[in-house]
Amino acid sequence: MIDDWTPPPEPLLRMTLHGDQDVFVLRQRGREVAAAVRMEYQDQVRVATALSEIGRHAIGATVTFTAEVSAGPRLVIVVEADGIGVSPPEGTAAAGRLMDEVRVERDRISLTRGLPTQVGPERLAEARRELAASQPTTVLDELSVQNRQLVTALEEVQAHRDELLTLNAELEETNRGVMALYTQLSEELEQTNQGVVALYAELDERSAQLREANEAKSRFLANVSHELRAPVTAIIGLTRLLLDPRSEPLTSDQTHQLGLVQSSAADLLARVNDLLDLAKAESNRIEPNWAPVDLAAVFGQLRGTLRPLAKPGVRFEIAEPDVDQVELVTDEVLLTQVLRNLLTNALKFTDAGSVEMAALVLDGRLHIAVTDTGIGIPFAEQRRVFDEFHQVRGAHQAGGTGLGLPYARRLATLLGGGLSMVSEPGEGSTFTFDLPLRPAPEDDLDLPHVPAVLVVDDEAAARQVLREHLTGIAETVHEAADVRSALAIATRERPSVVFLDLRMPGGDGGELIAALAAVPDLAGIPVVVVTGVDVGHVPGAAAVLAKSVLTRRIVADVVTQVTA
Amino acid sequence: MDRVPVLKIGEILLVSIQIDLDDQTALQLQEDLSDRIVETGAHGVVIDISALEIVDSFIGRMLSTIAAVSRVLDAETVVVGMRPAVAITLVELGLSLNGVRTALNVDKALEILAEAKQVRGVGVLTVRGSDDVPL
Repeated sequence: MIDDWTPPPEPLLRMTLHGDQDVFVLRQRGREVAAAVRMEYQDQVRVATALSEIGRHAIGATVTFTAEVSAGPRLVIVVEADGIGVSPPEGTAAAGRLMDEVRVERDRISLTRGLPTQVGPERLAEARRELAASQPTTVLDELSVQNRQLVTALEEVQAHRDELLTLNAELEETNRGVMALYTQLSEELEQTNQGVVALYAELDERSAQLREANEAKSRFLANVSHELRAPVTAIIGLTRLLLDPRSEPLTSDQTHQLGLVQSSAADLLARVNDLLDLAKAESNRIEPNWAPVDLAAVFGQLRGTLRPLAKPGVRFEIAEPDVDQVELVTDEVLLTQVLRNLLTNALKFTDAGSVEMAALVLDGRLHIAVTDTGIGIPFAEQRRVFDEFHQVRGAHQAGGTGLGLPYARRLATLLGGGLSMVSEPGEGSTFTFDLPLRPAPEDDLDLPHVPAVLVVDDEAAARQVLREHLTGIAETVHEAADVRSALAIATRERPSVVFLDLRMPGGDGGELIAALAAVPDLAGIPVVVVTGVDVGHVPGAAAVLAKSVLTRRIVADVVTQVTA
Repeated sequence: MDRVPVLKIGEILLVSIQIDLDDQTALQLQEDLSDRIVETGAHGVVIDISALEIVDSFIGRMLSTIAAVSRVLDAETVVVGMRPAVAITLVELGLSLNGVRTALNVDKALEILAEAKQVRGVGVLTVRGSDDVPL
């Protein structure tokens, strides 16, 4: 019995029992410790067996091997674990039979066995070194060390994962914020978009209204002119009858007054005719009739017809055009009208000096300049001389409708040309008409060509419009007024394109589309819907055109598009 | 986990434990041996523990159990080659290998088993004590 035992500071070996395998290791290590401190073989077996008995029931405990040399050398093995001594493990009693002493305390069990007397401190130091060198003894030990490291690593990984999860959660929250912001922005954008779309729709509506108003104006002009022409013509005729020498004689006063009536009526007729011309030009009802034009002949004719208008003392000169080698293709009538208009104006406002006209070709365009030494146009007015019904104030209000120049400019535009003006008040003006030597190529040269086209519309006028637009595009234009005859013609003639009105009495246009699609041979024919109402997309139709905006260009483009 | 081989030599099964037995291996051996006895119809089992340095109460109980099970399966068990240190420790522990016959070496064990077979042939089981390690 060693009552004054105190644990020495330096243990020989310390290990913890993590599992069953460690018990196995414990008894091997126990034997090694016993051997290292020079215990004899029998004692080695005793120590190992005792450790085996106790260790089996002390998983989790820490085992410390210590050697004491003072006061009789002995080996002390301490098994420590919380509360291990409260109910000692099963093997404790058995171990007690193998060891010199077994002491059970609350948290530890101490096993003591005496050592051979020759064991000194040097031997113990060496034993400590040997044991340290041989540790860990088994692969299992190493595995368990690695296992513990792995567990630590795993715990770290777990911690990292937790951190990541937290980060993720934060990120997700941020994401949600961003998404919310994005949604809000999207909504605002959507609203703005809707506003813009609404604005566009309004603009469309406005421009449609404007177009309608313009058309109404043109119609009104045409109607009024027509309505006015008949009575004015009647007045002129009746006045002529009254003035005829063969009718009843009139007093000189009456003759004079009737003469005034007649000239006024003639003036009125001229103005009404101007109006009618402009209305025609405005509604695009004037189609240039392209043909080679002999400019010299045109100039000669103008020279002859306008010379009488020149006031006394005014030199009227039209130079021979030096453009013989160039072939001019344009509309002779319209060209003459424009030039006559310019010359008439010049002659009207020139009291002295000269009115001259000359032509030259520059950059592939024909430039015809009419120069006068008349009263000129005030700078403030120059911008507006081409406006309809605008008359330059003062000396210019010599008579006329104010329609001459606008009409001339419109005709010039129809010919692909333009009118421009340079004027110095009091000095004179120069009007220049420049026009292409031949019609602009895009007007005719790149028109598509198809052998046959079928136009289906119950209104003859609408068919006529399309027929005119299709001149030069389609070799043959077939017309049908209803679905049934249209189907018959389509079957017989195999048109390249069908232009189809939707609303027709006795069969909707959609029926024709369906009927064509049902026949394999005809299913490939593209159908262009031409309609007065806004229908949007029409199923089965290759394109949809609005009747109100039909032009030759649009028709040509749609034919190109659907036959491509 | 290591497994202890069970060899069949004639009508005898030889188990040579060359490693320090841990608990799992010991339990596995117990199971394997029972299966082999049934499989081969062996009449004797020789367990060589000359390599064992430590036999604690668990291993001791295991040996007893093997012997008891073998007997029920009509096979006699003889443990051979126990080291003196192990024997002393067993005694100090207070363990008696109940029902386990022991012999100093395999030759002696085979003699014991041959005798036992003859005795069994006349239906009487006698226990010879002279070769036994004093327990």
